[in-house]
Amino acid sequence: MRFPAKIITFMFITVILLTGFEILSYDENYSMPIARLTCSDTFLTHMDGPDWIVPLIEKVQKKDHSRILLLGDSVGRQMFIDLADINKDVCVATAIAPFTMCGQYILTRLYLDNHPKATDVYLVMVPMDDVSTDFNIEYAYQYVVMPLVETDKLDMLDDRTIDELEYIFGSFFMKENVVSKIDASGLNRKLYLNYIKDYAANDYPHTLEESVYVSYLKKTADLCAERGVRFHLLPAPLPDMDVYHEIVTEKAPVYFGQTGLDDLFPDYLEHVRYYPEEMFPDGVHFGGIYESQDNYNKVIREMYGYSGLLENLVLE
Amino acid sequence: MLFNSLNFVIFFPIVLMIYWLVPDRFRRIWLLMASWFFCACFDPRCLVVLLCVTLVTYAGGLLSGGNRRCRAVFVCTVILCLLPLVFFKHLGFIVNNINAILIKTNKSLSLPAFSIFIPAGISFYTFKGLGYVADVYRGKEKVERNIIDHALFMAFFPQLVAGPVDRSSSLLRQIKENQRFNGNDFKTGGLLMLFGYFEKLMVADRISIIVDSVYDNYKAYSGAAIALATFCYGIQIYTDFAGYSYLSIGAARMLGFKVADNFKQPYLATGIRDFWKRWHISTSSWFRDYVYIPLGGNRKGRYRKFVNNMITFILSGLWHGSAWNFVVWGGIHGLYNVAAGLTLDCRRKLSKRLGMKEDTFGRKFFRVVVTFLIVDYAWMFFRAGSLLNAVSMTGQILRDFRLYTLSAELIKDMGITGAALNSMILSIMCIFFIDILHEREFSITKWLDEQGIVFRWLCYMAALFIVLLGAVQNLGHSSNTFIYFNF
Repeated sequence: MRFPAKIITFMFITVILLTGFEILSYDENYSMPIARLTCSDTFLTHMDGPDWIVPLIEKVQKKDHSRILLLGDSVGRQMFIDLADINKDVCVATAIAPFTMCGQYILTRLYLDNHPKATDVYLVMVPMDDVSTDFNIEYAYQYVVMPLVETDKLDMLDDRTIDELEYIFGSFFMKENVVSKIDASGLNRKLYLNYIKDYAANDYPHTLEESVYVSYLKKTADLCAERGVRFHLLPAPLPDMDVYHEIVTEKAPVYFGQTGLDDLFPDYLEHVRYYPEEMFPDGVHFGGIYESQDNYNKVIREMYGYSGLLENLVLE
Repeated sequence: MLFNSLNFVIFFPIVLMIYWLVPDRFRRIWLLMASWFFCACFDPRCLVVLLCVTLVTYAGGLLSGGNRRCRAVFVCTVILCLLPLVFFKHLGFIVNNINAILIKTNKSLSLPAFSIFIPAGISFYTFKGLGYVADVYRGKEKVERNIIDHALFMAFFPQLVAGPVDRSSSLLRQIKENQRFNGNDFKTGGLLMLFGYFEKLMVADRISIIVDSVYDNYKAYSGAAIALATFCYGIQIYTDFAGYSYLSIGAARMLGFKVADNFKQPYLATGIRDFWKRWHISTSSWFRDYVYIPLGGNRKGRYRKFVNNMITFILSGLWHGSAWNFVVWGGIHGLYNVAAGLTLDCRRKLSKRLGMKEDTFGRKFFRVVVTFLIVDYAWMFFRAGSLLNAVSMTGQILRDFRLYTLSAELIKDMGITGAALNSMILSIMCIFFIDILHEREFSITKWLDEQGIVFRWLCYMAALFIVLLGAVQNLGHSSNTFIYFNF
C-alpha cells in the first residue's frame, strides 16, 4: 500500500475507533467507567445545572394550592429552601445566580400559567455590580441552555436572547439531541465546558436596556402586572464589606437610573441590610455557625417585614 | 500558540498538508509565511523583533562576506544582534541591580524601574543568527544571499520559541535543498511528536502540581518535602524540555528536515561533563563553540581553562534567566566542571590504588546517581524564583528534614489524585526504560518497522490513544506552558 493510502486508512480506522469511544461515553452502561478513565467522573457525580434547575421548572408547573411564588439566587436559596415543606401557600423555587434573570422570568411565567389564583411573586437577589455582561461563560451552558433545552422551554426566551446564546455557544450545541449527549457523558461535558471556557466569545453587542438582567426583570414585572399579581424585588442580605457598599451606593444606582429600574423598584436598594462579614466566610453565602434556619429566620424577619412576605410565610 | 494548544493542533496539519501539496518552488515561502504567522500569534511585536534580528544577521553576513578583515562589521553585527536580547530580557535586571547599589551607597539618585514584554524565542533565534554570522566571518560557512532562505532559517517555526539552536551548516543547507516527501521520515516525525506529547502531558504537567505546591509555599513544608519537590523538578524539567524538543524535531522531520537530537539520556550521565554532552546539546555546544573556544578553551593552560569554564557557565545561566538565581545556577555548574577537572587525576589514582574497575555496573550506577544528585540540587536554584529562596530552601533541607512527613496523604493534599499519580509513575518508568534502550542504541522505530503491519498499527493507535487520554485527563488544569518558552 502506498504511503498516502496507508495514512488515510490509518486515520480512518483511528477516527472510527475514537467515534466509537465517544458514543460509548454517553451509553448508560459505559458512561461511568469512561468518565473515570478520562477523569471526568465528577461531571456525572456532582450536582450540576440540570440537576439544580430542571426540578425547579417541574415544581413551578405542578398544580398545587400555592398562591405565592418565591424565587431567588443562591443566597435566597440558602434562606428559604428548607421552608418549602412547611409552607403550602408558598412555592419556594429559589435557584442560583447563573440561571440569570431570563431563568427567573421563565419560572415566573410557568408558575403563573399553572396557578391562576396566584397573588404575589417575590424575587430575592444580591444586587449586581455589573449587568452589561449577560451570561457567565463558565456556567451559562449548564444552568441556562441545558435545563431549558431538556425541558423544551428555550422558546420562552426572546429571539435576541436565543440569538445571543447561539452566538456564544453555537447553535449546534443547543440542539436537543446534542445537549442530551453532552449531559449523559462526563467526557463530553469535560470537553465542551473546557472548550467554551477558553474559546467562547462573550461580546454579543447589545445595549444596557437590552441586557438580560434589565429586559427580563422588566418583562417579569410586566407579566405580573398583566396577570394582576404583585411583584416584589427584594435584596438579599449582604456582608458588611466595602465592595458591597460600593455596589449599593455607586454602581447599582447608575444602571438602575439609566434603565428606569429605579422607578419600577424604588425600595430595592433602600432596604439593603449589611451583616457582619464573619457570617459570610466566602464573601457571599452564610457559613459556619450562621448556616442555620434559626439565623436565616432572624434575617428574614429583620429584612422583609416591609414587603408583606412575612404575612404569608411560615418560619417555624 | 503553544505546541500543546488546540490552535497548534489545527495550525500544524494545515501547514503540513499545504506544504507537501504546493510545488517545490513555493514551499519555502509557504513555510516562511507560516513561521511568521506562528511568531505573530504570540504577539505581533515579537514578529517585528524577529524581522529586525533577521535583517541584521542577513546584512552582517553579506557585509562581512567571509572576510576576516571585516572585523568591525562582524563586531557591529554581533552588538546589534545582542542589543534586542539585552534590551528586552536583561535591561530590567541591570537597572534593578544598579538601583540596589545606589540605595546601598545612599545615593538619592535612582533609575526608573523597567519592565517590558519579552519577545517569544528571542534567546534562541538570536543565538542562531549569531552562530551564522560567526561561522560566515570565520569562513566556515558561505554567505547566504537569498533573503528568503535566511529568513526561514531564522524563523523556522518548529524551533522558533524554544530551540534547538540549529546551525546554518545543518538547517540552512537543508532549506536550500528541495525536500522530497519520505514516508518513513513523515512517520518517524509523527512518532517523535507523539512521544513529545506523552512526556509533556503524562509526566511534566502532572509532576508540576507537586513542584508548584511546594516551591510556591516552601516554608509550610518540611525539608524532606522540599527535597522531594526538587527531585520531581528534575524530572519535570527533563520531560518538559525533552518533550518539547521531540515535538520540534518531529515537526521538522514531518516537513522533511532532519534536526539533531537535543537530549541524549542526560540522567544516565556518569559525570558532570558527560551530563553537559547530553543535556540541551544544541545550546551547550553553541556556548562551547562561540564562547568557550573563542575565550581560549583549554589551549591556554589549566587554570585559564577553568576560568573559561566558569565564564561560559555563568553566561549560560544568565542566558536562561535575568536573575541572580540563574547566574548562581550557572556558577554552580561551572564549579562542578572545575571540580571535576581538578580532581580527575586524583580520582583515577585512587581508583587504581583501590583496584576498582572503571566500567563495572556498580561503579557506573554510583556515578549516575551522584551526577543526578548534584545536577538535581542545582535545579533548585533554577526553579526557586530567587537566590534567597534557594538558599533558604537549602537551609530548610539541612535543618528541618523530617522524613516522616512524606506520605501519600501529603501528595494527595497537593491536588494530585491517586489515579493521576499512578499513571504518572508508570509513565516515568516507561520513559526511563526508553532512555535505557536508547542508551544501548536500540531503536524502537526500527524494531517496530520489522514487525507486521497489524501489530505496528496497534502500537501506533495505542500510543495515540494514551496521548489523547492524557490530554483529556489534564483538561481543566491550568495549561502549563513549556518551561523553556520562558527563556
